[in-house]
Amino acid sequence: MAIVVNIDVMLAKRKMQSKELAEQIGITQGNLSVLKTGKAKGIRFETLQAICTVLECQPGDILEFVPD
Amino acid sequence: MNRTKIIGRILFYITSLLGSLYLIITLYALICLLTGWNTASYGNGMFLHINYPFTITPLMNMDNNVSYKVFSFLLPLSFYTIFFLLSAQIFKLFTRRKLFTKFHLLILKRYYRLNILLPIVCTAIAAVFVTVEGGIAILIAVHFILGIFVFFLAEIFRQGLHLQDEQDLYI
Repeated sequence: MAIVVNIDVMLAKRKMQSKELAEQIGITQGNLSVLKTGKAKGIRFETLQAICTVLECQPGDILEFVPD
Repeated sequence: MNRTKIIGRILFYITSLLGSLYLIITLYALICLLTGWNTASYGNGMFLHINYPFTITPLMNMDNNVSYKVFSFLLPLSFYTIFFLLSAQIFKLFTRRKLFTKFHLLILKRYYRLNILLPIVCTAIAAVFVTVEGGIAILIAVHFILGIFVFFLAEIFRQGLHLQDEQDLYI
């Protein structure tokens, strides 16, 4: 997929683990893994908002367009 | 959806009960025919009664020959045992919270294959050994139409499962 989700970079910057992020944004670790590995078909705005709130970042910090 | 679950649950209990009754009667008849227990022949040995357990009151009657016992008696009883028990599974799936699952699709596939194929195949085999009554054709047609209907339902479930899997990938 051309849209890459760079959550790991922000997690490292905020010194947070995936498990903690998943709990705080209210999704399962499995779903977070689906997001991180690029298998997700899409992301809901409310999920994106929750991620940006917890990681204190902008959507552009975690979403990147990489042409195929 | 609640109404569907209530109706599904009622029909599940009814078909489970019918399936269980058919199973008990089939097993009881099989034991009686194999052991001769609780059976009584009549009509110069041309016909056979299977009596109610521990009584002399007839429960079931049949021609007293092997072909009839197997193909006109046990086979239909067995088929309808399986039919009602599988019907109970169909209604049970509508009581579940999640409708579109691979397991439910499998149940539907099994059910439509049973209804489309088994009556025709069993009747064709039975016709070699016994005289098949005209009314059986109507039963075959009814089961065939039911099978076709459930086939279309399975297609809807397949599409629903696909859409659900896709939707699950929207985080």
